[in-house]
Amino acid sequence: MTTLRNPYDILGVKAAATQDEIKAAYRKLAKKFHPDLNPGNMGTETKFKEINEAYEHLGTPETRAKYDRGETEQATFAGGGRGPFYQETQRGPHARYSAQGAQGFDDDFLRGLFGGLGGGSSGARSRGPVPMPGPDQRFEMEVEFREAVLGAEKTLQLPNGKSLQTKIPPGIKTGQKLRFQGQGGPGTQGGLSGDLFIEVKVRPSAEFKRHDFTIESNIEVSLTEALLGGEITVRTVDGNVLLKVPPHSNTGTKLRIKGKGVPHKEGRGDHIVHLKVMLPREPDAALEAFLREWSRDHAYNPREGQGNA
Amino acid sequence: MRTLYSLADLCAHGATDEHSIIEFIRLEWIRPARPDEFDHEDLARLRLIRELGTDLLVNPEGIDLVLQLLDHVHALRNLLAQTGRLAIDPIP
Repeated sequence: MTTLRNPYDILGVKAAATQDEIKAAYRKLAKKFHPDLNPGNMGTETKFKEINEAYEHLGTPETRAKYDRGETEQATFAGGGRGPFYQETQRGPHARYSAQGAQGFDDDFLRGLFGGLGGGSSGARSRGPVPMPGPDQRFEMEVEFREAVLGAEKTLQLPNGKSLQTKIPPGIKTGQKLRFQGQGGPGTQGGLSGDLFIEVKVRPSAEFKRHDFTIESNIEVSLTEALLGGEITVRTVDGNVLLKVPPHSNTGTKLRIKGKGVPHKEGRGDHIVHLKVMLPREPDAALEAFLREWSRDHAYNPREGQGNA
Repeated sequence: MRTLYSLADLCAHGATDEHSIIEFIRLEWIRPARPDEFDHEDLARLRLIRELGTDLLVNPEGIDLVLQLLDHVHALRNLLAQTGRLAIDPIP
């Protein structure tokens, strides 16, 4: 990942450029700066990655609209995990292809070089149409928090008009990709279609937070429920459950609901509820009178020993 | 240790179908040391072929020429490195 510059500037196109113009500019620059087409030029790899990242922002109308709206997340060059460039495998005497490329150098390597280019072994090979696999395509899909936890089936409308039935596996996280083999761009001359990758973005929930396989939420309880205990209704991703609040609970007390967290290989995580004790919404004269009376003999200082008075 | 790939592995790692790879072998764009046994050089070369043909729309004649030129360029660079006339980074 590199620091983001304006991708329009990187590709040398105007903000009003058409998708075709962007694609053409990308191809021209990628050919010019592809590290394998510039052996020995150490500076091209960074430039090539920058061009690819810029194209990831602008390469489809969806990603481009997102960038134009100011949602400038760092793109991760999809080729980032592609493995070494070809030139990196051709250094040294043990590299097979370059060793074969040296054949003909012994007598007169210049003659060998130009002989190889003009009428080398490839000239003898018959060539019909060469199959090329289609390009991979990438899209993003937003899913609700609950769908990400429990899994769901969704129909996704692709920009090419096709609709795709997607099965979201339970427990999916933001950044995870679903792969649909053969659903990407079409191949040419009999090459198979590329793959379609859908990157999942989980919409945050106002109510629930996720930590690994645990779901956490806050719930408010009355003074009476906190002090004397009781049964309260708590919302989980599976729906409402009854939860027993033990007597003498407090703000910050955590209660565990087993098996209502995020599914994993061996079952499901838990849901942790954080209690928050609330006074009555309106001032209550009877409660105040009672506490005045009660605190005469039962005063206590919860800050004792904490350095606060 | 050298990692070896089967044809199926190569398809998966190189995001290319078997039919295309077989054709690339027939054209001698990919020349495995043994039949159905590929290494990291073959995989990197396949990725390059795919990028040239699929992403950059270089036609088959162009790919053929690029690969031959690259073979010669790398051979020359290694030759010059052996004679001490070219500093090449060691393999990481």
